[in-house]
Amino acid sequence: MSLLRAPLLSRRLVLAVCCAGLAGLGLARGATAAEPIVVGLDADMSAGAAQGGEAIRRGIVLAIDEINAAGGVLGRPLELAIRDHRGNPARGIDNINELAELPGLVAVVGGIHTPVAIAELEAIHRNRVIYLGPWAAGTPVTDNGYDPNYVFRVSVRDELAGGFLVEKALERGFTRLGLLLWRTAWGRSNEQAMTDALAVRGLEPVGVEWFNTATPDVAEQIQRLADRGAEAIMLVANPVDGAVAIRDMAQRPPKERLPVISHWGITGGDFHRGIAAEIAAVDLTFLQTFSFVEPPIPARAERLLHAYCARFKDCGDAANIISPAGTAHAYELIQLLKLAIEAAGSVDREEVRAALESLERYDGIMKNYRPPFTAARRDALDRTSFTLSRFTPEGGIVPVEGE
Amino acid sequence: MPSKLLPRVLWRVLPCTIAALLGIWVFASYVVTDTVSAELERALSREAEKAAEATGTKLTSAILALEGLAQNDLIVNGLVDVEGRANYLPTFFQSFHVPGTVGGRVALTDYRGRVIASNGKGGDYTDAPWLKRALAGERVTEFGSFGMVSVIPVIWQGHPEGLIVMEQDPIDLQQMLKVISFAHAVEIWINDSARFHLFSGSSGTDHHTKPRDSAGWVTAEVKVPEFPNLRIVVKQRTEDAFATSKRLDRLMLIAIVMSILAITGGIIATAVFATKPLNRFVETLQKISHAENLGHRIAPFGSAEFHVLSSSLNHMLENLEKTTTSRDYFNTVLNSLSEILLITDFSGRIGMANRAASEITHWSIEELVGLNIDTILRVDSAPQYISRPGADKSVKATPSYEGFLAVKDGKEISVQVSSARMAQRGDMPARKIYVLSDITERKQAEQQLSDLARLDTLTDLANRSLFYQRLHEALAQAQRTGRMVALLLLDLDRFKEINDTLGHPAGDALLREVAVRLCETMRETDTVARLGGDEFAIIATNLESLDGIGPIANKLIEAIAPPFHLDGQEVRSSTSIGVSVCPPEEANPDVMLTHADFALYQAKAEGRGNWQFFDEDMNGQRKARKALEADLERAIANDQFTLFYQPKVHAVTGELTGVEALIRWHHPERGMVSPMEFIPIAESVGRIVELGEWVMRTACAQHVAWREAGLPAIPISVNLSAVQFKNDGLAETIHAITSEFGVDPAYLELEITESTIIHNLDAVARQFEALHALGYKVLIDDFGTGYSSLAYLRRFPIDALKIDRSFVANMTENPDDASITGAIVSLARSLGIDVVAEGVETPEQLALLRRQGCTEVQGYLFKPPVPADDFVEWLQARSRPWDELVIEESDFAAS
Repeated sequence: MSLLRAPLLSRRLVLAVCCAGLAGLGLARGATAAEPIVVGLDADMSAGAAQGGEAIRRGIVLAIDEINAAGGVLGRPLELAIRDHRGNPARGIDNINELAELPGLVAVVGGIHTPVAIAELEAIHRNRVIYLGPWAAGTPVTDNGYDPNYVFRVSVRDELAGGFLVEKALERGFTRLGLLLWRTAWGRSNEQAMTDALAVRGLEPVGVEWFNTATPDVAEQIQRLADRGAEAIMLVANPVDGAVAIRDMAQRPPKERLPVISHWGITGGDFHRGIAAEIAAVDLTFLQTFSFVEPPIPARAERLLHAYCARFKDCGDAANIISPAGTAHAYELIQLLKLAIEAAGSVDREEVRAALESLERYDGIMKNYRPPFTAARRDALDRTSFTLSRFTPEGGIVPVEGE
Repeated sequence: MPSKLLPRVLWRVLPCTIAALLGIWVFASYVVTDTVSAELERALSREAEKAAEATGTKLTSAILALEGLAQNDLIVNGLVDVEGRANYLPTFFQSFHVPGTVGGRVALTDYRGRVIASNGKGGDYTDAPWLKRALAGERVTEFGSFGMVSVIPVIWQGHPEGLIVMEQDPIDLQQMLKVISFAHAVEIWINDSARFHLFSGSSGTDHHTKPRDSAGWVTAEVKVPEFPNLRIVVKQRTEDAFATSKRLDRLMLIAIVMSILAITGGIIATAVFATKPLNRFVETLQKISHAENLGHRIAPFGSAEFHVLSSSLNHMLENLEKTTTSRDYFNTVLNSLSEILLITDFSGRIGMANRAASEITHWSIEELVGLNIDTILRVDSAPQYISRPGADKSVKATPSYEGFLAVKDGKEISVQVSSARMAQRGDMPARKIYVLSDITERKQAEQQLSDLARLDTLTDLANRSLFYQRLHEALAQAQRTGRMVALLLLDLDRFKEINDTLGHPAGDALLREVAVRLCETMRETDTVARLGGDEFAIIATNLESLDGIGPIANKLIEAIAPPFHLDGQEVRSSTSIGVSVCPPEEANPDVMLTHADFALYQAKAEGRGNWQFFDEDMNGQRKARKALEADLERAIANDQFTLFYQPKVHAVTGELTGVEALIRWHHPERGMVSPMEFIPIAESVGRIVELGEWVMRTACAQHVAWREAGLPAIPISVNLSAVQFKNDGLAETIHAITSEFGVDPAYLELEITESTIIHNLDAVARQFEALHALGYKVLIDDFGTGYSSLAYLRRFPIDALKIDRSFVANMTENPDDASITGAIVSLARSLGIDVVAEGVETPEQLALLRRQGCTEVQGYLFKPPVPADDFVEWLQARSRPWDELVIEESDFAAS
């Protein structure tokens, strides 16, 4: 499968880069022969979470198209440079080092994988590259101990996500929760968040189970959690391993299947395809921040959806747009970057970073940001943006009714 | 005249003889050299092939272990988990050991060859020449002056995201591959500049990569099948190789020279001792008879009979002279001879015989006279006719030869015959004179010499034929003396193994050393014989009671116990002994041998280094087995066999995946007889092929019956015996049966034990190909119990491995067994074939097998083997696959 998909995707990427570049050049030609301002994208574009990477790219492209159509930033067009890290931290670090050397680079948009983002922190700060996080939710990604901190995120923060998911579980009457976590920095970040959220209510997980990357099955772990009396499973997984977990749950006898309340990592890939039947057999809900079906600010979302369907021919039904949160977050980040560059009046990364910290307001797709970031708060979203969602039988993502 | 004869005889005979013998020597020398070099070539090639196979197996298994490592999900996780991997990867690598290696580096690198974790120090691989290929997903194994490097891509999300690298420097590689000792120097050649001297054999101790030119060496070269870049070269110094043949050459030359000397001496002796004296006799006698001159005398000469004859003749002549022509007196003289003297006419009719003739033959002289000499004298060998040029033409030559003379009581005695012919002269008719001497004693001495020829050439012990003769003699003697004779049969334990691993020369050396120890242990009057192979026999005579035998047997066992030093190797062996005793009253060598053989069989059955008396209980067992053999002959005809069925289920889903058909014998008197008991009997009495076909037909009929009863098509497996595999038509037979019943080959699985494969590699390879081509599935039964040469697994089209029940039985208690089952599972995975665990009895075993990735299971936990009807009942009663299972919480730690 990967053999077939990789060349298709990379061809698509090359096309995208060319389109973005041509668009920039076309606009710039009328004005001055201005050097483009480069935005990097460093994400999994071809492996297990490629769909998430593609959604992020679409968000960036939509924002860049809109900005360049209006004359660019400081009279210069924006241009996108893409690097694929395949979910592999070693590739991610190399990508950051390479992107930092590109002339005109001001910021890099990251991908889905918290482990990659955390591994990249050293390179980000050594190269003084602004890192815009549209997805990776690990708390240490933003709370990284660097000063100045070059990371800005419009996405979920695990600390809050853990609390939110635990709260949703408790609302449904489940007090005995089993944690099923990916053995990486992201899993550990969520273990902390969920355990803390339960501790506030005087509870603790009935069990914490870990699985390795590319695990063949997690039936044992599920069984152990079930044996300890878990009423629901809290799942933190990437799309590939998450599919294994859902498959193993579906293989249990119907009476022994446990509801799965998942972090949103599973929505970053082609998760639904291939296990549609299993998903239908499992009570699966998961964290989302944005949907075109019930958007927080319908008029703005409507406009974005329109641009989206004009640009990307597979858009179809609003419910079936791939990983909509990734697109929305990336769109917001590019718009915020544009405002910061204009406020700084420069593409100097240090100055743009300072400007991002002092923007006062931005009226976005997700919400009205007042202010988006501060020197201390690097996460633009909070739990007011969180919703619980489920898959439609066709694989679309829709909010759970009543949310 | 005699003075002329000798040089002429020598002149004519000697050059021819010398030329012939030298010719033989040149020819023999050529043959020996030729044979030695052909033999050497074969021996070196054999060793090279053995070394190549051992090398291939070692390297393959190491690489398989690396492949397993590259698939380990903790390793994959380590690529991603930058923050957490320091907690587990270093420990993991420190404790990881590639089987077969003694050192070397194993490392995990990222996607650019930078080392993430390893079991030791060392740099990154970013500039390695193989890096690009490995990152493209290729498995790389390279050899060179650096040693060996093997690289396996770590595939994650379908793409190489890291590498497992194993490096073995030349020293480590040499240690790793140094598995078997060889008689010769063995080197591994990677290319012309990198050669590893693996085994020094007997020639030299230099250990490194120095190339050596091939001049002065005899070599054999073989490519390692799995690694064509590696060549195994076995070499031996030419001078060492042909040392034996040169020694033989010298020995032959010495023998030839000695033969020439002996023949020369023989000719002289013959001429002197036979020709000359008779000549003189005849001449004298002729002179006397023609000239009536009785004054002639023969000077006493020669020795033994000739001396006696000559003096007797002189005496006779004196008497003749004294009594003028008294015939009676002449007879008296002749009668005083101790040799037989006969004079015949030319038709052979005896005209005169002396007294010695009568005394020795017990016939009266009257009876002898008138007999034809041909009726009593039988010639043994052709007379050696020696012409006497220059002699009196009336007396012709003296053929001297050996013969047998019939005597009156019907027996024959051996005689040395000398004869002379007297031509007709005047009115005297032509006659022949025979002088016969009794040489019976000399013949006996010769017989002893021929005994020497019946020695085993390897050990100088008695060989089988001498052993039989001695046993007959010992029993005959026992009957006379009333003492007992014991027969001890010995068999070396592990001999075949020693022979296979150390080579035939070492095996031969072991046999010689054993022979020495046995002889040292026994009395000189006892016979120690080698009956062939590693089978020795000892005849202990003159025993007063049975009590004497135990100490002898124990002494023999102790004598074999200390280690043997074979070509620098210390080797241990032991012996098992079977003893039978013949009481004097019933002496039968064949029965004794049969009994000793059975006692040996029992001794071996009880373990090594043991001895057993043959007693009546054994006789009973032997008879019981005979009875069972007879019953088995009738069992098929009488419908006493039946098939039981045991389900195989999927390890995870619990779905029925197939059923194994197992034969049961319901004996009318003994009840159920275990297949372990009757299958070997069926094999030995030649009924196994018939029985195997019965099983196949019954299983096919059952498969069809189930299908007709509306059950799904259930794959059914049957066991094949080694004997069936030796039949070339096996695949055709199987196919004829399935076609007859209309069974799709995909539903008939054939199980063959690992040991069957090992012992019949060639036959199995042929049959596997044929069966596979027809669409049958082939499973290896009892896997793990044999010698697991990975090479053969790759060679044959195998569909599944069945893990032997012995490992499964202890896997939850014994970590070694658990790691064996795990290794078999990952081996099967890497070969892309299924794996079935047999004998699963507890939920813990099932849980562990599932974790190891085993796909199918079979055992009492699910269902014991049951008759067909019970099986169907069980199948229909199963509402859900895992109903019968309660999986206990496992002790498997979470992180």
